[in-house]
Amino acid sequence: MTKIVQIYLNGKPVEIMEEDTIANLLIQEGLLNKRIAVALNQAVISRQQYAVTRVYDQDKLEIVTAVGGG
Amino acid sequence: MADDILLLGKRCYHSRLLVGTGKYENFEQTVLAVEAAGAEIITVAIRRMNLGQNQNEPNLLEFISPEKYTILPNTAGCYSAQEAVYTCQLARELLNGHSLVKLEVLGDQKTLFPNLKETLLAAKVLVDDGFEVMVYTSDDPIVAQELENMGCIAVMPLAAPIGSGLGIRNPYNLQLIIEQAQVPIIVDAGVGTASDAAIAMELGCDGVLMNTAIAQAKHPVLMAKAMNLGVQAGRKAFLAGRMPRRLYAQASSPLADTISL
Repeated sequence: MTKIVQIYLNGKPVEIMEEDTIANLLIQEGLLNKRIAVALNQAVISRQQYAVTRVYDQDKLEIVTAVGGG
Repeated sequence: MADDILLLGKRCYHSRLLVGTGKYENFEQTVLAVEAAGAEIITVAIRRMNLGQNQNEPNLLEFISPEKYTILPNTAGCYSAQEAVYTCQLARELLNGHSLVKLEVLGDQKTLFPNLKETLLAAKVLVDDGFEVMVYTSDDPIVAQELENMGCIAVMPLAAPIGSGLGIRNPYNLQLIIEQAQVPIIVDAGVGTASDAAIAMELGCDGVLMNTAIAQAKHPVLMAKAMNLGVQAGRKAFLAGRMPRRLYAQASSPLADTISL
């Protein structure tokens, strides 16, 4: 049976399937192929790595984009 | 006169007005202001996505396209070198390897003055990592020189605190910075109205970067146009070379053959 683990997504605790990939998480959030950048535990993950990078319990995942600023 | 080009790293620009995209009512207004400003280099901030709802919310980059404009991601809101470097790394990934960044490391929430120690630290790391760094700094000529020596491609001293609209507070320091610099000097922050932009350019700045002065004007798009013209007027006046200041009057009409009674 798949275990549920807790990660921090943009600072907020969320539950995901253990060892889910970044690509899967982005699909669930409707963000695959959007203009975003992703970092896992403060290391930037290139988009080529989304499908093979797994997220573990207590990991910190950041999904960022460009917004208005000066 | 030959084409007056702004050379930034390896890129050439015709416009010397760089604009931000913050504080506008909506993306449509942002686009209109950017177009009226005639800007080619547009700053954006990097922030966490709003997750959950709004999956189809439009993205700024759909309006200000990286194909049409040079996007200049900033590190606004960063108070340490580490945060700023991390933000730049995320920006580079977001923009498909585009390495131009606006580095700003703030020191204090009230003044938004730069933390120069952290700015210098971050600049070193970023330059070593292959970033093309345009750096927000104070109007200290020694620090400006240091940042240039480190390999920053443009040095961007403030004219007054960010968002203050107080204008060019220390033209003498700006002049010192301009005089010694081999890289473009761009006034970043503090401009309030078109005459401020013109004064910065008349001093010999290579460009002006602004956001609030346009976005918070009563009519942002009209102000964007005014800034566009102010920057152009100031640049032309600088190139033309102003007349010397004199204490006493000097008649413009011939002194000879005046009609007398």
